[in-house]
Amino acid sequence: MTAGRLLGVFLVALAALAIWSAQSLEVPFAADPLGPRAFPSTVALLMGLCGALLLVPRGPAFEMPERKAAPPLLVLVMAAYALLLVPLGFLVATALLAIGVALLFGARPLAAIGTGLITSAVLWALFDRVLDLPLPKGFLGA
Amino acid sequence: MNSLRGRTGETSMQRRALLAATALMPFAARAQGFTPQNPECIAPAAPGGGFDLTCRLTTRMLNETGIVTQPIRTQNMPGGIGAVAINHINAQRRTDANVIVAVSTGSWVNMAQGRFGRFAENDVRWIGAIGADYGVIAVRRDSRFTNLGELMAALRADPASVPMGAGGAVGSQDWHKAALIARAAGADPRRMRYVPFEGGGQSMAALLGGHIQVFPGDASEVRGQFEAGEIRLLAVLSAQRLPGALAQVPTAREQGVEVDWPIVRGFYGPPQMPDAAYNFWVDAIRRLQANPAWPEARSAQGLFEFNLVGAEYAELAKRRTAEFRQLAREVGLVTQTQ
Amino acid sequence: MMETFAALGGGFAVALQPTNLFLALIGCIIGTAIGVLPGIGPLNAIALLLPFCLALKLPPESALILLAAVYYGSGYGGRITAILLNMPGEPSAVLTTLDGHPLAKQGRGGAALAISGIGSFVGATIAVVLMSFLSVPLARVAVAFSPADYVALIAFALSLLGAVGGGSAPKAWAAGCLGILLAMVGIDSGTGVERYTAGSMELLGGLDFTVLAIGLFAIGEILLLIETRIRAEAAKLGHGQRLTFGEILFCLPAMFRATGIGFVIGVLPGAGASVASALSYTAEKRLNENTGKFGQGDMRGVAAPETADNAAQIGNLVPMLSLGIPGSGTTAVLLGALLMYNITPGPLLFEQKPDVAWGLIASMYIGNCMLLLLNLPLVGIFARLLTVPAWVLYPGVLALSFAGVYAASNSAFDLLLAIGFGIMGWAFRKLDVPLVPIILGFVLGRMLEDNLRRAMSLSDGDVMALVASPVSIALWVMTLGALLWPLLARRRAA
Repeated sequence: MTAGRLLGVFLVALAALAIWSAQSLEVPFAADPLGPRAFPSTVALLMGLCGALLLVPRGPAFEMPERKAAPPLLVLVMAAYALLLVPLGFLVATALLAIGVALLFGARPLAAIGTGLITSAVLWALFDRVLDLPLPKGFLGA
Repeated sequence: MNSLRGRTGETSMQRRALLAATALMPFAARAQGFTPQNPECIAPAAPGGGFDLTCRLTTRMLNETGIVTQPIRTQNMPGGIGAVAINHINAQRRTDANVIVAVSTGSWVNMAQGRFGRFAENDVRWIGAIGADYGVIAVRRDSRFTNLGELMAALRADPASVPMGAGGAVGSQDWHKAALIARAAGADPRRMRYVPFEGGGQSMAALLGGHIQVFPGDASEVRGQFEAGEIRLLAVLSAQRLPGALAQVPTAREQGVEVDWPIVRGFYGPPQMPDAAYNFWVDAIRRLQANPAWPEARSAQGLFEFNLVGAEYAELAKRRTAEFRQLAREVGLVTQTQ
Repeated sequence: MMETFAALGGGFAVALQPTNLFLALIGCIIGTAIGVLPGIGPLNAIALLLPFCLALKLPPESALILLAAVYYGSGYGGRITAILLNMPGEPSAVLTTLDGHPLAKQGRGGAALAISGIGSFVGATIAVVLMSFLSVPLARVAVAFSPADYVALIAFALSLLGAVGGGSAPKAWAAGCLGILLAMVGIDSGTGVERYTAGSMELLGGLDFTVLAIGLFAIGEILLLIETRIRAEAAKLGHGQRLTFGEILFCLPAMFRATGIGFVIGVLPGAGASVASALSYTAEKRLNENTGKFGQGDMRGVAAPETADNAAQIGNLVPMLSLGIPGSGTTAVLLGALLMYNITPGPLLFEQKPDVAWGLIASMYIGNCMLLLLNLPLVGIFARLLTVPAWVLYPGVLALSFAGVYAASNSAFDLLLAIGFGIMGWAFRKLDVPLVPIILGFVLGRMLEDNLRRAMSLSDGDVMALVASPVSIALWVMTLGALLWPLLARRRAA
């Protein structure tokens, strides 16, 4: 299956899901003539039609990355960051994130560690101190 | 910076000692048993939202007056108009003594409609109210309605004949004002023509532009247009007339309509907040209300005096939520997740 | 007229006081910085600054001068990351990526930054002049704009979606529809029911623009960059030819048109800078179909949306100052600031507090000059951002994006959501699905549905209400024209 077709299938399936979800809404009472279903259903239908047009095989194949492992690894690093931010605290988690991303971008280990530490400290100062938006302290603050 | 902090700490200690000595505050002595550590105010909104200002401005006053000497930081926790915050409190900080959460009448409406998941009015400790804004019924200056009675008559005859609009969704606190008026007129709230707009500003524009006939807004947001003679206020939804520029506007009660709509802003704490801490915060709000600098700071937030703390505030929160639940059931607004 | 000049003179007397000049400068700097920061917009910044103003006991006109400078200053900042990194910092900068980033890739990032700065200045300054003289009558006209008129206006803006795609029309339209559907997530304002929330409490209030934009653009871009070997050409970026005087002249007509579009749309309380920048970009693209190289780095494609953005921002202040009606969340907070100083916002402001109203307007003339002078020398420094090694730049950008999202929401859920959109943005880029229509659909979709349902509710379901006013009829004709134009053009070309 070409990438274009895959996209078409994705869009049609998403549209179907959106329409089904809209139709199954339980509306307490009709507060306005149009209601909450009509508009999203119409838009989803339009999107489904566009998706169907893409089912005609055409267009580029999904280009395989030069470094196949890098994008999934980066996603993993980011997801770990989202989950560990609160337990580890902003300073530690952000330093680890930045070190990880720097390594993925081909930094030498020492340079990556430097980048990580500086990024994390600067951002902490900016958000927590200057903007007064508290960031999680994690185990360091306990 | 440090010396500054030290100094304000000292004066407030003296003030606190003074207050305790004069025994003005029955809780003051007991509250001494608790000292907050890194206290926080959770604003269930992004920076700039209504709850955000409640937190930032109130905690600033608590610190400035020395009622609370430890700097209180504001943490933003938007999501589900307070749903995320109440879940966070109940899941992770049930016994936290150092956190208070901003809350308003709008939150009670959401609790009543089951929008806060499993949690509602009995899953928090109600600390105190800091003030209230009041609902008003606004029409354009050339409106066919000159008093609340005429509007009620029109609604009674045909609730769909009067297009009304305000800043909240159907079921929101803005909608409730319109719904309660319609219900008082003997009309079915489900049949009224309520048009939700994006905020009070756009509703006011729609009123001035003649697209809607009635704007059930809040006193603080319509004052400018009222003073300029652009709009007429049919009623304020408060028990007594409001002070200041709005004093000439009659209440709904004066016109024989039993509808009040205070938008009460205040704070709650976690469900198992220790008593010493709870009493400390209740006492802090009480002392804030008694502070001579507070009235000005309060009206700067667009709030009128509404002093209710501790048990009395809890009673109000629970009573109002029960009333809203009743109305939500009547019109079928309670969500299935309850 | 003479009264206006006298009042404006009084305003300048206020704005030129050293404290106020200083505050305007500070506000401009903070505003530009805020525009660059992802996640933190002018609305948040003003709210964070407000307690400071009160604590410092600033007089009301000074506080307003500072806060307003943050507001219009942010319009200068949003373009920087959009042009250099292909990451728009605010909704209205999304269009700027279309030509700005290609220019940066061609080594003309500095020139693109400069022309957008000049555009912002032209747009804002002309808008301030218009505002000085026409505020009250304009605001009166603006409130007459009905929900049905908004439907036509937004439909017109959306009908131009096909034009921003560049590639295949079905993909652009599908992307636009997807954006609209994403905007439907949350509590439906018409009935209070939850749509597309999958029972998640975090989604009750809808998706946040920042989360979507950071995901699609920042994370998606980084995922795409990381899969190729580190590009050696990065170092040469920023050393391209500087902006020439000829190019400025070349863009001037586009700037004037964009100012007109931006200001008029900004004055309407229910529209905003995103509508304005989308319309002015597509207008330029359509007008210069044969001569332009839009999408591949046309200077006008940078100048037009940025000019319109700043003109619209100023326009947005018109209903706020002259009628006390805030047209956007940010102007609502500015209005709240007035209220805090016990100044009643509303029609009487100009009479009761001329110092505040005219002082603010005068300060905007000065502030915009400051922003231009501040921004042009910085262009070179910003452009040098691209010479920073990727392993320093992108970890920093990613961490900054996450910090911005988290600090404003305190929610790991939002971070995961942004990562999810990042994967989507990465896949869509590889599949040639344009991302800009997603954002436009997201920003405009909710507006379209809300106004459509308002209009239908007010007319009791009568569809003819949508074409009841001359304005709406004109807009619908233009919409039809925009939709049919590609077909006609293709036939003519064939």
